[in-house]
Amino acid sequence: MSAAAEILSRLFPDLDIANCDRLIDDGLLDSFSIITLVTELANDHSIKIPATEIIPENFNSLTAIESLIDKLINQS
Amino acid sequence: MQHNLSMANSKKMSIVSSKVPIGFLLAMLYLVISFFGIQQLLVPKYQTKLIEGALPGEYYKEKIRHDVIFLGDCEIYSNISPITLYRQYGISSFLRATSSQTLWQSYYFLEEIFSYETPQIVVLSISAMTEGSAVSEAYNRLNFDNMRWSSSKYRSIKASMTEQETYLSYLLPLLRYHSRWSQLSSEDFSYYFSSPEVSHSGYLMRSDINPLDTLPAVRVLADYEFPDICFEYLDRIKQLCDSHGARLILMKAPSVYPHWHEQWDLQIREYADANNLFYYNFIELNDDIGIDMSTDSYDMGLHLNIYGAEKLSSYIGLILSVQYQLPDCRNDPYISVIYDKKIADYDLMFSEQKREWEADKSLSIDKKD
Amino acid sequence: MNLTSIGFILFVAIVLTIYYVVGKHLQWMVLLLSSVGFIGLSGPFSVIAVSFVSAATYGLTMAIDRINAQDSLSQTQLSTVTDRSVLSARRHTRKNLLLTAIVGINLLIFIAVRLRDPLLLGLHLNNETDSMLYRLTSTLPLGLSFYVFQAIGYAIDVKNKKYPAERNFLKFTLYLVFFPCLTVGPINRFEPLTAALYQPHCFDGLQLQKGLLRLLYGLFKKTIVADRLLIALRVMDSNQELQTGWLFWIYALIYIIVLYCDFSGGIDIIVGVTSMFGIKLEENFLYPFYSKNIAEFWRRWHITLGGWFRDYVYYPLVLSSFMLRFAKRMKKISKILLSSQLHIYLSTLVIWLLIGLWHGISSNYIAWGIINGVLVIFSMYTDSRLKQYGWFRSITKTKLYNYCSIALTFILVTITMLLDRFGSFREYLSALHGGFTGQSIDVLDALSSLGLSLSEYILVAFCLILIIIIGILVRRETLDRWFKKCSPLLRFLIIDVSVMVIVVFGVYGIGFDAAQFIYGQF
Repeated sequence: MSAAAEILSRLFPDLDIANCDRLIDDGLLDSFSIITLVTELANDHSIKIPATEIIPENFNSLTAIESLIDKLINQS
Repeated sequence: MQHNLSMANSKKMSIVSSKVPIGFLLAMLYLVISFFGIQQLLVPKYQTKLIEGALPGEYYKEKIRHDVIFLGDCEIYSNISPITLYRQYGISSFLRATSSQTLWQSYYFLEEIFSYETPQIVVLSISAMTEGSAVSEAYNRLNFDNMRWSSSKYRSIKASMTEQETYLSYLLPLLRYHSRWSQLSSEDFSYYFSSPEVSHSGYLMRSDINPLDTLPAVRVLADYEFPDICFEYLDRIKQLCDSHGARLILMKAPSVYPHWHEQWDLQIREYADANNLFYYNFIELNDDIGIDMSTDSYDMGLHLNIYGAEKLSSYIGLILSVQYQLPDCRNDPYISVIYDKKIADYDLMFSEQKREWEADKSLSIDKKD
Repeated sequence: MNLTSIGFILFVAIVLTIYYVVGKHLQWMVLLLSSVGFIGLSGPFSVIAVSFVSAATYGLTMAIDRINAQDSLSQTQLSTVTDRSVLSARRHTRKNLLLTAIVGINLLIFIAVRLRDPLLLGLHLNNETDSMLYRLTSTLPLGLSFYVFQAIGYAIDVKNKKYPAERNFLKFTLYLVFFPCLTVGPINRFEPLTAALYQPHCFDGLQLQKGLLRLLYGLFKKTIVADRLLIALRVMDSNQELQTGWLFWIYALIYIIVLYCDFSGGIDIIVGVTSMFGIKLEENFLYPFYSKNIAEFWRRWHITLGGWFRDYVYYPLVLSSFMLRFAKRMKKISKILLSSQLHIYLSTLVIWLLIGLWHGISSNYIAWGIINGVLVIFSMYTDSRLKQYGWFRSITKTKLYNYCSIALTFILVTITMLLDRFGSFREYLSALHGGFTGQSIDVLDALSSLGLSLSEYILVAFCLILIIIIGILVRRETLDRWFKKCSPLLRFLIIDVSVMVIVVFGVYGIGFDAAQFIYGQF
């Protein structure tokens, strides 16, 4: 399980994270949860997501989050 | 196949494109009709309440000429009976007077009258010389709502409009009266299409008696000078009369209050002398006229009731018939028929009012006991 | 120009006509000229302020843009990694300086205008006869609160290379001064707005009708409900007796209704007007009273303001290296949930303080900001705390929980928004105290003395029900689909009826109690 998947499943124990692609649209992932996720990724896994990348398209599904992380790793 | 499709499409387009302008025009028509229809419903009818508002419109219903026109405010429309003038002297007259009618409003009414007819005599009540500006928006409404649109009305509104008023609200009264939706009464529906007469050639009849009690204290004023604008319009009224060959007469009705100050009277006398006009201060002639404020007023001396009005009219009629060669309309076949109807209505209203008042009076006496 | 005035409607009608008559490549210029004219009507101070903001922001963002260009060029040109990184760091610093300058200038103007009175007082320039500055700045610049933030957002985006700077100074100015957004906002983002703003637009009858209907809906909310209830509010303001006990709560309820109908009505008018030009604005209100907590409420009320602060201040702040290090240290110190999210709560409080200050620089707005911040933090904390438990998660799925949350949120919002109405926090507290402890006079008696007749209360109630129903229908898009299917004639007739409803029931004109006034005279 990727770091992002692990954190999300901890935040939303009842949710089928892998198959949900409306995390933002359905209001599941609000700014509080996003920041919690990003903070943990930064502090515990050294994955730094800049504020400019916090847009709905990047966080609507687990796949989107993981591709964002991959993109950032490749850039640096 | 494709050819047919494109034909069908272009046909559809032309139907759609012709539907829209027609729809737009119909909708505009509907908007206009609903706007004016609703406006007519919400505009005050002045038939059972505030009947003074109906006065400006009464003139247009007249079918005969008038040899004498009276101009002024409530001191005219409460105090003079044109029916008496006709009955006793054959004089055909009309009262073009409304609530708190100002000098300039009188001027513009007169201007309008001259576009319809040419009276020989114009009698102007000068009590409004003290008012240099329109009294209030409410009175402006009473005085203009039922006046027909003309250049005279346009200028009269301009001269009278207060700060908050907009011209648009006169052109489209719905913008002023729209809030009456919550105060609609049966009057608004029953008089939607028609507005029967409320006056007798401009006279508002009151047959009740409310005698003068105590004379009010006379206040001393700081300044007795009439405003310039009033003199300006007084001049214009005189010029208007001169240019139409009508004689102007000035008068002051015999009201007990508001107190008619000597300093005011002096200014009028001076003006009359300077301009070769007759001025009758009927307050001074009270005894000659025979006015008795214990029976002749309906509001303790402010205005005369029908008894007082007939006495005053009788006196004025005598002056007019003696001094001027006015035709006797009782001999005119057409005019006399019209006046016969007017007299019938007048006498009927008088007997009805008298009956009502006496019934009310006995009711209140019973209550007192 | 008042949004509900005939002048504004005529202005829009004239601009619309010219807009669809001229060549399509000239349409944005029509918008620019009419917007400049609109601002001009507000006085010279408005024109000076916006020219200065526009010129400064444009010039400095162009400089940032040039540095950005150098950045991408250097990626290919320079050889050694160290050379590249040194120069890139230098460019980075320069960009930051420029951005700071832009933000600084804009904020300075914003604050100076907000503090105009105390400033001029301090400089002894508050004498009307002597001080030209006082006279010049007597009317506050129109739209400043909105375009300053649009300018700052744009500059930050350009610095972050989100999009290149706008080269055309006039086009850029249009982004700031677009006239519908000057009175009540919304605060627009550069890309979404200009995507439509600079493009040519064809005349689309259906869109115009929909826009017109939206405009009329806004007028309906404002002139029939908000302006009418405002009469009652003003009467209550002037009489202390009418604000104690039960009446205090009625006052609060009336106020929140007035605030919603006035604000969202104004936005409806604006969105309607812009869609008639073929431009779609971001919604500023999305059924705010369906919110189950305060945090959600601020995602549904004045959305563009919250969104702006979230994207341009909150995220950068809470994800700054300083905050992240703080979070890491806090987590090490204690394991309880609160500490690992302390940086979020602190940032939230800061944001809310700033949002409060955006509304006004006085104690009641600062208190308002802090209170909202605390409420949001509280709801975030309890949510995250309780979400760990399965029983809580199942309760939150029940309808009863939802209804209770909605009701509680509504009450909280009503109480906090009331701060707007008082000059200082202290006054607010004493009024609140009166609401709890005061003895009120008879409520029905009081209601009949607020300047509104029974039929008007019934009208307002009816309108509120209508607004709720329309909200539901719009949410489900039923209304939209049905309107599209109607024939043009029926659509025009609906517009006609709406116009007449506003003309008859709207609150405008002399002495609103026209008949009472006139009849009362005699």
